[in-house]
Amino acid sequence: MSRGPRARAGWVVLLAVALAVPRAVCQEEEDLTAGLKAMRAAFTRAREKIDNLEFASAVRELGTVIDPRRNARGADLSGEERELLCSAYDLRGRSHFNLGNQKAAEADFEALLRLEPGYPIDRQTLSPKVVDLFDRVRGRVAGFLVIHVDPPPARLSVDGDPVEPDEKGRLALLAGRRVLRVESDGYDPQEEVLTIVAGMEVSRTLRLRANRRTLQFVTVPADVTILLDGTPVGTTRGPATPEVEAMARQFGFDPRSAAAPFLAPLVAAGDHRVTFERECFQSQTVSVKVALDPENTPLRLSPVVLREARTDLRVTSTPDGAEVLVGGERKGATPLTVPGLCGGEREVTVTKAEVGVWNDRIRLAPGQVNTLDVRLRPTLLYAGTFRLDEWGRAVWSDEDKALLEEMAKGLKTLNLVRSPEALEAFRSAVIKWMITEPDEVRAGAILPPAILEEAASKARADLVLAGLTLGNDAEKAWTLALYSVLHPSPDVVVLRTDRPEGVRDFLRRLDTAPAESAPWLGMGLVDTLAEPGGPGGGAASGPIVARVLPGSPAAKAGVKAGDRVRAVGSRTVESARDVQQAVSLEMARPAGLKATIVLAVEDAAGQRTARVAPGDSPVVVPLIDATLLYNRALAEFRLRSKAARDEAERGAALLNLGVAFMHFRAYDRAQAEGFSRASLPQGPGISEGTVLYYRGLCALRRGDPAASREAFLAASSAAGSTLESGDGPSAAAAAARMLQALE
Amino acid sequence: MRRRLAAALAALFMAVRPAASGTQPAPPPEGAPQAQPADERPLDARTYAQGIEAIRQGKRDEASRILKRMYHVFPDSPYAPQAVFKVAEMIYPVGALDQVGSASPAAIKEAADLLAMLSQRYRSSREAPRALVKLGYLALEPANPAGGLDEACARFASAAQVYPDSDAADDAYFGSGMCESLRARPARAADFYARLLDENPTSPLAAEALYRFGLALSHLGDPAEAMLALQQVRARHPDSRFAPRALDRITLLHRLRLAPSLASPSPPGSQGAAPLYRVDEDYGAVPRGRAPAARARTARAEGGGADQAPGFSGATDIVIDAQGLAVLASPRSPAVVRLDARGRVQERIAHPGPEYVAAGEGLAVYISGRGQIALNARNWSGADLRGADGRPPREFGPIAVDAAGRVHLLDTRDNALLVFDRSRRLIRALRPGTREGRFVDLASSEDGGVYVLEGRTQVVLELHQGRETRRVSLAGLGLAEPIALAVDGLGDLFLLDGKTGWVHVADPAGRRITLIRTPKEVLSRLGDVSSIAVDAVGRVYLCGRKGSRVVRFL
Repeated sequence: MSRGPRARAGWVVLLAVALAVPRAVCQEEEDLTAGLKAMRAAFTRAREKIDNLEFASAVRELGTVIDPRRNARGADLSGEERELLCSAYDLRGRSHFNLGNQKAAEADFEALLRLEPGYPIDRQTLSPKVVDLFDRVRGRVAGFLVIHVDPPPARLSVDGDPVEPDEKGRLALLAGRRVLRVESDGYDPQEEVLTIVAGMEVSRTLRLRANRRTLQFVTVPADVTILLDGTPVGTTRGPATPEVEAMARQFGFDPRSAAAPFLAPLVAAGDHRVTFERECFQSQTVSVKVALDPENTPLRLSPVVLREARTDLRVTSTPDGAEVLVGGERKGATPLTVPGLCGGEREVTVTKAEVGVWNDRIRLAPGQVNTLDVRLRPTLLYAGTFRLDEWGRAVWSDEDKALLEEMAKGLKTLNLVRSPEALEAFRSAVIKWMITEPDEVRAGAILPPAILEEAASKARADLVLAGLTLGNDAEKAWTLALYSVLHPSPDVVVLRTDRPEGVRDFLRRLDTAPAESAPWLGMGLVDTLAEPGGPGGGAASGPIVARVLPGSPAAKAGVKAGDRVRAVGSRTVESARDVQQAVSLEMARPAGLKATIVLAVEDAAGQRTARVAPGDSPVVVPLIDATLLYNRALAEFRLRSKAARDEAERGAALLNLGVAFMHFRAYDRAQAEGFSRASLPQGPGISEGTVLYYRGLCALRRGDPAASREAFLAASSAAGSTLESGDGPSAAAAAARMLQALE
Repeated sequence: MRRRLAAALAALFMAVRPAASGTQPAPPPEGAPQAQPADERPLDARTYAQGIEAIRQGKRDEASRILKRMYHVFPDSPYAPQAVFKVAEMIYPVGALDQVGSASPAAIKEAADLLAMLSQRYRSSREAPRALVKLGYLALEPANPAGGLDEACARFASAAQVYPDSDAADDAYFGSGMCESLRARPARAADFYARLLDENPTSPLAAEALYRFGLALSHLGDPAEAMLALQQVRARHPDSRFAPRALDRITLLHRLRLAPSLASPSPPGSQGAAPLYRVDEDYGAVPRGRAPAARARTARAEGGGADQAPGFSGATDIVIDAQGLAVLASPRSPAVVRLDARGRVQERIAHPGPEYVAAGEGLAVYISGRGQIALNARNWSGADLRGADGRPPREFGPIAVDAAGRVHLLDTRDNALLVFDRSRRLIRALRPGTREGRFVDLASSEDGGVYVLEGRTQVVLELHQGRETRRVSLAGLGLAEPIALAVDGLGDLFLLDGKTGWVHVADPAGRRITLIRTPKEVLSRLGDVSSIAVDAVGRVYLCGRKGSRVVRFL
């Protein structure tokens, strides 16, 4: 209790101090300004009085300028103060002289010269008597130094104060011992102690020793940027000088395109790398060993002649007919060869309306034909991440920093746009929606398709990604929604803002296009327990071939159902998993060559070898896969269906498009845009039967049993067709089951 | 402007938030702590919270009273469906198919009424699909007079069709699949399991659904597809308990479907190029290298006399238990004996006169003989077990137990099959279809069916849920005197001919797959061959009334 008032008093004092300290600083600045003002005013008044020949009044007035600063050192005064003080001494000395007080005049002149030994008195207008008196006083207190520095110019200081000699190198200095210091860039500094005798003149010549070297470059052509150890030092310019013309004759280049010599000063001794760069020319880098020269004569290097670096770019695309832009300039449609491009890094865009875009910076190697084979990609608009604060207000969030950083590294399978216009349009559309549909907003309806379509259309994007975080969420949840222009349901992913590895994983998923195909053997393997029938009546083990699809690579190699697989290549196998791993290893040969898989198989007749040449089979996405972003998949399959080179590719893409729509229970669209348009050839693996099965399944799910039966009936007779992949379950058997189930 | 944008975006992103908001205040997640102080909450919310708290404290009666009051007083509260479901759950806590079977009729009725009301009145609530699934389980309760497979199937199917996106969808699909399996409609069952796998691939039921999908396919005449589906269980769920079971079924399919279909046609009267079975000489053999004295010690240690073979002395019945081990009824021992994987005695269950055995769940063994049914060492039948005419069964003959725990007993003197539920109530009595028909043996299959062998007419009756679903004629097999029956998971019939000691193996339609000609030395070893069993991978076991070993065919 007793500490209360004391504590309060302490706080008051602290507060007062806190408030007073800045005020004191301001006051000091104000005083200084006021002092200078008063000094100027007094000086002006004194000058007026002298003009009116009121010398006594002028002396008094000038006393107000001089007296407060009588003991001040020159270094303590500001430039204007010092100048005013010198002039004040000058005027007061002259006033004293005019008043007949020669002693006071001498004292003022002496004070003036101690402050400024080289003070230039006005010899044109003043009385010769005053000038004489001034010179006599100077002869008593100061001497002269005449200094020559080789090479000029240099920075001089006396006793630490910078000084400036006149054009003849003459410098007035107070009598006594003085320390002279001379400095110049590229040279070692020099110091000398001088004894200045009043009224005498001494002369000094100082030769500086170089510690840097100037380099001289001549480039052909001009306008070449020079980098010294990676740092730009300048750009050469034309036209060539006579010296360069002489060099041209010696080195055999055209002087009309050469630059004038370029001097790079102050280069330290030692080894340096000098790079010469100009757009459309091949860069050149040379090593230079720099030795110091006491005279610092420029080190003249041989002329650097850059070779022109133009190149041809051949662009092909899937699909053909896409427009090619290099550096934003239209060049034509694929396939095409763009001739005469400058080498180096170029922005190349390949685009086809309604299909997709490919955009990247590529490095063109000069002097050769560069080929670029691109597959058009879907385009993603990242609309930003918003944070809902604890009052329910949404603000732009910076919690997507990790996402943006990862995106900035580049996406391999998507073009990323972050167009300000599109974002602005997005925001405007949301506001408009809020005003026109308040009930819908309150009910938390999902983002209207029209808004998405507009945002995507403005950015020419196929996918729109937007995020949301909650300001007061202890879980730090971050909801990302990926929308497609094809339909309104988003893929929703919940990440944590404090776990960047989740962001990387999400981006990996986003930047992974669904597989188009998988290696295909056409046989299904199963494990069994050891059974009778092994060699010598013992137990038989090893995976069994449960099924071989007719016409498949395995069938062509003579593998039959019931065979036991004993080895793959040189690897003995005990299980179906062993076979899978061994086949993967066999196929992972370099150079992308498809290996022939040598299988040791066994049946009742004994062991034999089968050589299987694996094929490629399309794959079908599952209806639900937690790792797949189905909107991403939709965009990809749509693009593939438009970019397909043949009917089989198109059919596989449309089949997958249908399945991806089915994932969102958009059965009508699955049928209309996918399955009804998909056409695959008859045969084993993913084929016509697969499409028929999915048509049946889709019809069943959308409540059309008659169409479903018809499709299943057709699929059930498509022997050899499979689901999922070439080695997946039988589509015909699945269809037959569905028919049975429908009965 | 910024505020308006903020408000709009706030509303916009409500859509992607995990809990969708609606016009009504969404009820809190079950058991979640309440954010608001109790006195600020509406009365319905407070009452519901009190009920949940009472459940937490184990005060079930109080909880039930509070929750019932809650939904009676506030029938339109968003908490009402949760309250109804909680009460139903307290009355009938079954949450999975394998828990079905022990509810009392009163509990069934009360829970069914509540759940039916919930599914009708609150059909848009989160609890409605759960209620339908629970109604499906209730319909499968043996003590439910209004239940039955059809009812259960309809409930599960409603839940799956009306609420495909609910969190009970996987249970609904799984229940539907199981229902259709029990109805012996494998194609429909496979469709439901496939939907579960397609639409809920990460469900905790996925491994079992994939396994049961494979089982369903194995009944559909395309063994390769079934084997490949079962192989997927091994590939996708290698650590689940269904992976080894899948391997068993693949092996069975290979042995009895794929291999026979690939074998070249054999000349009449021959066994074919590659016999499917051979005697497993190691099964039940005393380890080699042991001295006779050591063998005798082993025999004594295993319960046999020094002068007799190890373990048991003759067996009248044999069955394979849920662990895949052979269990024997040995009246002369007298005991029920469980053999280990090598065919040696592992366990003896004391019984005064076991004649027949049946395997239940886990290690449960039902023993028939001496006028009673025992469950392991306990009397199960008691004194009040009643047959069709209200009297106790006259003769306790062969016995079998189905997947739902129904006990099937042959009263050989009355020539009747009696079906009892878990509570020992008689739920069905069956007699042969013809006057000359005579039931001689029973067997149950891994897939839940019970099979009855009519010896004279050479017919096998297939029963599911205690009802006859199929009759299979054995006329084409050339059996002289069928005395015992075993059935594998595929529904294949293994018939022991008492006259020859041979085993006739037929597919579910009664077509011969193979014939195991029991060697004469084996028959003499068994003495009077009495019974047969088959395990999950199709290995055949024979026992005899005088033999001291079980013979196994690999």
